[in-house]
Amino acid sequence: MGTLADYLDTNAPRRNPPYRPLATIDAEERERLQDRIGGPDNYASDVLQQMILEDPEDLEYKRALASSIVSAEYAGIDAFGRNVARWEDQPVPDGLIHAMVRQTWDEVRHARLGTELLEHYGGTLGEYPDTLAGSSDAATQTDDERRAMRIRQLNPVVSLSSVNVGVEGAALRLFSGVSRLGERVGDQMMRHVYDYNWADEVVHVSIGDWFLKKIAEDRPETEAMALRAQGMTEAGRVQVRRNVSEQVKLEVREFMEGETDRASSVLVGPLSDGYEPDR
Amino acid sequence: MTYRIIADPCINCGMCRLSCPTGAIRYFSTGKRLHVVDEDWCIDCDICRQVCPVDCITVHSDVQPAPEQRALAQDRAHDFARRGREIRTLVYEAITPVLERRRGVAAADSIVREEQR
Repeated sequence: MGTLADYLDTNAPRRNPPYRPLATIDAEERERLQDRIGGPDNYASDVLQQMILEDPEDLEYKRALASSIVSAEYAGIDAFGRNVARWEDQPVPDGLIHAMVRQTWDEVRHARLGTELLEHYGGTLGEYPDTLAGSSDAATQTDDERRAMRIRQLNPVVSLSSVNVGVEGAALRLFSGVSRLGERVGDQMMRHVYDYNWADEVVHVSIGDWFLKKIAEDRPETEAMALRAQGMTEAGRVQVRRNVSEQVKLEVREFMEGETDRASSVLVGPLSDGYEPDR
Repeated sequence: MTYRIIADPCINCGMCRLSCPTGAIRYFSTGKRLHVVDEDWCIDCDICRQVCPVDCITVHSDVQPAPEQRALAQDRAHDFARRGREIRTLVYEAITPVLERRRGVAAADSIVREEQR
């Protein structure tokens, strides 16, 4: 009999109805979004926040924002819960497994808070698409997505760096922004819910950072792997994020170009300018 | 004056780096999982200290960048603010028709409800 992780992998989760990532919704659903919030392009947290600011009384924008956030919380429960099983076979401290259990429980709490907030606005789960394209639902994933997700989940360093620090670090900005928005428009429920989430995200980033410091201590290659994983996560995000300074974009881009050169150099030898990989 | 990040309590969340209007906070270019303020580009705006979730950024009055460098950094901050305004305007222009249409529908609904009473 194999490990629990293998067993879980052969029993990939299937939602019914399946996850509906925004990028793959059908024409009918696009039309519905057009009617409700002006189109799929507006189903983005920064745009929805501005819509709420302009028209705080229109609950449709609040329903859309709450839906976009809560769908990611449900995906988080599945992802972090699987880490608990997958990492039992990895050389990681026991404390990290316990931390993942706590993190899974936090996501459950966020999902509950988010669902009730959505219902408070008169909405229901599933009326808007899911925001995480890389859900763990095998039915809606491409082969590349599945491969990338498996690497991320099986390697604790990559997972902690890209998800706990990279993704959850970005969630800090989202939650503090939405909580502040709630305060500005006089929506105390919104302010409270996302303030709770924000506090948990600080813990999640701290968990990731603390264990990375511990695992990578005196291991420069492991630290480089962690930086690279975070760089890949950020590279995609900062290019589309509208209010990040050009210098930050440049730093991430230069780092990733350097990493690509290093990887090619390892594979095919030094480049013509004499560049040697830093091994 | 400048700001410094205390490495030990820093959780490397990147809030300071992504909020800095002059891009003065380095991370990837340090080659380690370490956030560092480039004192030459710091304009003392205090944003990094305010957004830090673990209060690990301290103020140091002993450092004074050269006036020319300070002027360059301020130009960067102005560019950042101008771009932010332009982006907000673009988003506003994109969402205005939706807001107006929905306001119109809501107003019509309320008239119908009023008449039904």
